[in-house]
This record gives sequence, C-alpha cells and structure tokens, in this order.
Amino acid sequence: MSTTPDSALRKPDFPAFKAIYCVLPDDGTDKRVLIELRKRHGVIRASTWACRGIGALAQVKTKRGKLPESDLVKQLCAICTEDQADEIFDFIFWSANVDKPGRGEMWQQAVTGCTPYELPADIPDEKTGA
Amino acid sequence: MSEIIYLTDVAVINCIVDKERTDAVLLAARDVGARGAIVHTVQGWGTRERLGAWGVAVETEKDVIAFLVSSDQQDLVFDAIYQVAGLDAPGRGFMFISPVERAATYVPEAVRKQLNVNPE
Repeated sequence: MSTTPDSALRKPDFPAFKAIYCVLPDDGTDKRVLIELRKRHGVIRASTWACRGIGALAQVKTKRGKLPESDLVKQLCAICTEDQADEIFDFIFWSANVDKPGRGEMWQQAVTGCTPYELPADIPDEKTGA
Repeated sequence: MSEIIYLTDVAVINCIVDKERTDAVLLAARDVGARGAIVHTVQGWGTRERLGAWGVAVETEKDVIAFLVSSDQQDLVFDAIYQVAGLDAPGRGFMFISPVERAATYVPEAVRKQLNVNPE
C-alpha cells in the first residue's frame, strides 16, 4: 500500500493520537479496565492479549545463568486522542493499581496515523443483555 | 493516593527472533541491565519461505520480545541482543527501537523518599 498525495495532504489535519500500553497480571484486570475505558471515557480502540512476562527483579530463586520462570501476563493497548491521553494514562494507572509492586508497568507512545473505528449500535450489553 | 512518577527518556526495543534464541536474548539483555521483558509468541512469515543453499524452510514460530529500557541503556541492550541473536546473519530476525513519551510503574518507597515525591 502506498501513500497517495491526497492522503499525505490530509495527514496534517488528522487529530494526533497516542498509544498507551500496559502490562498487567493475568487476574482479570485487563477486562475490567477495557470495560471501564469504554463506559467512562468512550475509548473503544483498545485490546488486550496474552504474553509471557519475565521480570529480572522478581524475587525468585534461579540458578546462575538461568532466567526466572515467566508469568502469564496481559498486555493492554488503548488508542486515544492527544487531548485524552493524560486522563486515560492516569485512569489506567490507578484503576489497574500499577503503583503497587508486581502490578506491571505502562508507557505511552505517539501514533502518526489512526483509522476511525466504530462498534455496531445494536449490540446487547454482555451482562444485562439489554 | 500518592502522585504518579512519570518516567521519561525511555525507549522500547522490539526484537523478532526464532523461539530457540529467546532465552539467550533475555539473558544477554538482563546481563546488561534490562529490568524485564514481555514475550509474545507469533506465527511469522517473512518475505521468503525458504532460505540458503539447501532451500531450508524458514522456521515460522517466532517470538517478539519487548524490552522497556532507559534511553541511556538502549544502545547497550540493542548491541547485546544483536550479537546474541546473531542478527548479522541472513534470516535470523530483526529488531527496532521506538521512543516512549512517558512510562510509569511501581516506584519503591526508598526511591520516592530520595526524589522527595510523596514519601508516606
């Protein structure tokens, strides 16, 4: 896919977006944060996936020259506008308890382009069915 | 509720290597000071399906390893991974560094006191 001159011209008008990543323990926090991001902040460009987390500072016994056992962790990615970034970053930090030991880490990166994304309006709520 | 300490001058190093080299890469990065890593297992196809004189099929089971490191460390970690992963050989994988605007994690009380940020 190549960038056409038209789309290149449109880019300066495009709102600036940020990608916020967060590594979380596999205890359901990721799903809870995703739901709250949608309900409270309207952020729907977000997803999580499973990965292996290896913490070098984890207080576990390992043999010399060996790595500690990895943990199953979840990585969350949320895309939001630049205006929302401060609010969303702080929200994820506090709601996922990232300030507590062993609760993961998070970071923010600039995104140079982003497609619009909408969900169908007639999806029933997962819990209430309404 | 204490204050968030935003960490700046941070970068993410992403490295795509064969699964068999993952542990060596992680150890090498740890030895030069990387604090932790996140590993995703992926099914990766490159631009060619076979490589070399014998036409050996490229191993498609790859690991994507992400390291969050300080900007000061990034070259050191990058070089260490490059050597261990053998990325100078064709078809072994590749890696890239991307800048991070800010990061946050648990900051121990002793460090908070040192920085004079919300000592409890």
